[in-house]
Amino acid sequence: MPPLDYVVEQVLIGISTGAIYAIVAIGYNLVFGVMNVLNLTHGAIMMVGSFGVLLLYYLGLRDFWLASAFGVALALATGLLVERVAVRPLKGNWWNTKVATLGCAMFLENFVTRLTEGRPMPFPRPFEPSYYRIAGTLEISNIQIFLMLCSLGLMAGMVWFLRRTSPGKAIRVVAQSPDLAHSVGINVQRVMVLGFAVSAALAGVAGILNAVTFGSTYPFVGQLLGLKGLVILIVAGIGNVRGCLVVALVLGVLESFAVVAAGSAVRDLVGYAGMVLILLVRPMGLFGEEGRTGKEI
Amino acid sequence: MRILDTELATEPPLLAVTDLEVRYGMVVAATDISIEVGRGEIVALLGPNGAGKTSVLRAVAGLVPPTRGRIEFSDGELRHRLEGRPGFALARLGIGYVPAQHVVLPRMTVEENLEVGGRYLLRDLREVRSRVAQMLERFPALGARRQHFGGMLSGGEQRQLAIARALVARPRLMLLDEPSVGLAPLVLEEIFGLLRRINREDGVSILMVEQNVAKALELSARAYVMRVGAMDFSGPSAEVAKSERLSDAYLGS
Repeated sequence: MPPLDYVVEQVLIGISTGAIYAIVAIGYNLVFGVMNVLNLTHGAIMMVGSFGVLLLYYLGLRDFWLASAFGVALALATGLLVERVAVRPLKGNWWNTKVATLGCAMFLENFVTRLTEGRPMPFPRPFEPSYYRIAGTLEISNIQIFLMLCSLGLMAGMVWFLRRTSPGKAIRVVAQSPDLAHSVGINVQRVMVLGFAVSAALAGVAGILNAVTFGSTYPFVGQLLGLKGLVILIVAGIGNVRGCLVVALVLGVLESFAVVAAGSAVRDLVGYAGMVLILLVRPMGLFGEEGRTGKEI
Repeated sequence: MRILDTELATEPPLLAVTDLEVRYGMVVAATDISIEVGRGEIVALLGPNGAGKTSVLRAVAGLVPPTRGRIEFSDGELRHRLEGRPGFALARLGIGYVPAQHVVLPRMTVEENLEVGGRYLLRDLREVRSRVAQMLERFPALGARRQHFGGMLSGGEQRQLAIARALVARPRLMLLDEPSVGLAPLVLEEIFGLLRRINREDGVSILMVEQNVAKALELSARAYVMRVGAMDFSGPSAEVAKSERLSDAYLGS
């Protein structure tokens, strides 16, 4: 039996990575639900968010918050551009948009690789780390607290946005039936752009939080993270925001225990093996509806 | 005064569809379709499966762009050309649409379904709330299930909810695609009674596509009968009901 504070520490680490996964998965979910498009640029947009921060530092503006706002704005602009060039002209065609958005991701990743020579780049911290002793040997840093508050706050904000505000409800209506959305006066085209914009902004935030977690970023950082988000979307069940949150947190915690039990090589095994096992039993995902299976992806 | 009389006599119908054509790529779904719906009138669009009724209705609702023809909607003094406008713009003019299937938002509660019906069309949220409250009172079956998800309701309740949702924004014209589909006979009576009531009490004009010919002719004042993508004939419903051409259209001769 491992000591309790050790277990608690792993759970905390798991929650903070899981919360980032959740932001990624919900970003996919928004575009997938609203437009029925799997946006494979999502991971690359995260990377753009983190490099947006670095760009401002490179230009000499060394303010973390300002740079983060710029990074998120850059991610959002990239998302809107992808929607305009790779989704809208293809009229949302399922296969074509998948290939086109994958192409956009490759372009962005290789473009940034050219600019940076592909090396991992050190990433700034929001503030100097200090550690608080909670109990026994258990310590938590202010940066960990910051990361958790950010992502959990963002999740709560998203749930509120989708359940309470007019644009948020419009997103849910379009996701359930575009024809009905028209009949109640919702401009469906505009809601699709909005869904893309919110998704891209979330990707930007996730990219920055992830870079803060690891203290670095690199041009292909979005590939693995993007795939994790997709796994969570499939396991949780398509179209389910709260399901994504639960699955993401559980995956984060499981991964963090897997790493201490068997080394970092098994970290990614957990999610994929878990996905295969769960889909064998429940093809529609844990919280999904009958008929909407991961086969769509 | 004579001039005024003629003006009244030529007052344009609420909805006038002229020479409409709908195509899906190479396939012509309907052609040369002309339909009029007067103020306060219930009009039925009939015809066998594949005649193109639903395509016409979807074009009028702004969900498919027509390839030819004119659709005019009169709003008091104003006349609006509708062809080519997206569906949401028509909803804002006061045209409600209820599809044949998937009539409710399955993952929203009854109350939310109703609220969505007004939120994007009425001016302020207070008005939306009071309209929703009115609907819940007026349709006791919905009032009893206000916190249930739309997808959990029975077929008849879903249809009631869809009609109530369209009513929230006080439409002047309702486009209904097969309001009877999948309903048990008793429930069907209820829904048709409801349509008659909203027509009389709210002054909503109705253009409905319907498979249940007898019921539709009973409810409507006039009817149009389509046959393989074209208009076959039309007239007052009582006459259409007696016409031999009606059974010809369905049985083919």
